Amino acid sequence: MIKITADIFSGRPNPEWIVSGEEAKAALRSLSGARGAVATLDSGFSGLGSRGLIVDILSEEEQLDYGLPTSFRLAGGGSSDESHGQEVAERLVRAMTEPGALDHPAVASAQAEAGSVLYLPLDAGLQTFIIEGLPAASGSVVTEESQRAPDEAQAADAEAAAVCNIEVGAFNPGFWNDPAHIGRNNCYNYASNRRTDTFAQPGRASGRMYTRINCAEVTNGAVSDGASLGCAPADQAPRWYMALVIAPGPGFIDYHWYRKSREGFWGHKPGGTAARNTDNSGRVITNPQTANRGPYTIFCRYMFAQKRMVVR
Amino acid sequence: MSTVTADQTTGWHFVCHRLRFVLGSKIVAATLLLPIASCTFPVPYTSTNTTVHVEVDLYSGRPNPGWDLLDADARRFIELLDALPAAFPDAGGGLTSAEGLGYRGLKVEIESGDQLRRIRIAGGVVHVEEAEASRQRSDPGRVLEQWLLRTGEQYLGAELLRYLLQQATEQGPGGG
Repeated sequence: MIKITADIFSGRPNPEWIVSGEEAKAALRSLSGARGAVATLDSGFSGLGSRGLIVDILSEEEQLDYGLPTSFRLAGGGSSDESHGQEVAERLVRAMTEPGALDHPAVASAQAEAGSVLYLPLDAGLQTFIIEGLPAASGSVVTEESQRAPDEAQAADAEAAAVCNIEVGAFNPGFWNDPAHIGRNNCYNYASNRRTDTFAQPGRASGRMYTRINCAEVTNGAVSDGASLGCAPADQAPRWYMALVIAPGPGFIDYHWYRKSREGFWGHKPGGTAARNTDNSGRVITNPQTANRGPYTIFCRYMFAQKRMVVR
Repeated sequence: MSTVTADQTTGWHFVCHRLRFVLGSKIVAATLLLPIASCTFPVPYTSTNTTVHVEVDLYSGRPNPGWDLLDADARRFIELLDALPAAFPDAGGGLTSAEGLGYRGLKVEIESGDQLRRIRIAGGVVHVEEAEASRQRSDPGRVLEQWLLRTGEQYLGAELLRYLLQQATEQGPGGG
């Protein structure tokens, strides 16, 4: 039996519900086999909007059986396998409250401490709201299936672009590879399409630069600079479509960004080297999730640069 | 546009090399400027006016790590550099194959007075640019590359250094 908290609200209490029986076991089994999807409570996106699900395992036996932490965060942008986390999270939201769950001693005990406002059954509208708030379902991130097969990735990518209106510029490496600028602009400059000559760092312009290199910290830095996790409104055009990846180490720890071009492929600029549209295998990048990214093995998410974004 | 030429004057290069380290003085070297004008590296090392800066070209988002060589290391580096065998322009794709994401090799700048030499070291190939000319040398076993990486241990940290040394092998990027 597990307690789920949808960490979405800022003012009002977050909705919580219980998942038990086979559905709970299936979720825990799935996460046990893909520990990368499990993130600590203090990880992930910490701003306004969906911060994913908080999962509390209410049974000591189950916690031991599956070797998972008692409490953890799912689909909040802080894990190394967000797509799997999003898949499980969506399943848990759809499970809603099962009959009899409230009779469990652990729930009754927590209920007594917290008051009766907790464990309200989810209604269909709230369920839809939570699912749509999860990054994978919002259209700003390509779904789990896209990570597995290039064709599906392209379909999901096209779907995302269809859901969110974006602008795409022509691939123009000459603008970046000019000797006066090539060494002064990096992948973040390129992806946000802002040639500042400052070797820009996510969050530096807004005073909230990352303090560690992981998906959540770098994402938060970019959001703080004005990037959007979801669709950006028309008055924020041009809205560039970016993808963030991480090199997790050991030893080599860094982040990297790509930007989609009008031609359909993706361009990028590895540090102070030349902007290009090919991966480490020399292939044109049609999907940053399946491209050869060398040590940048973690795909974090897609994001949108928008008009108000400032980088430095 | 600079040109790449193979240094096939091994004997003369040896003479130049000996001259530089026997004389070791900019003033004395200046008086011999004409006879050694065709030396590969006409600027002698002097501790007072020579700075050797090393940058590890590896990151995409973060700034690359870099450091200045200590005096003794700078002197040793130039010795090792001078001792490298010449490479023909088509000797290998070390520099071009070490492109893209990940470790791409080393960038070294030797600044001596108003002269600047830019050096790229990757995949067993050393590319030296100075003034209007450029030439390539070979770094067998990537010994020079590994030696330079080790001089930066305190700036790189043990874990990153281990990763880089692993990359800077015959089998690593641009290697073998």
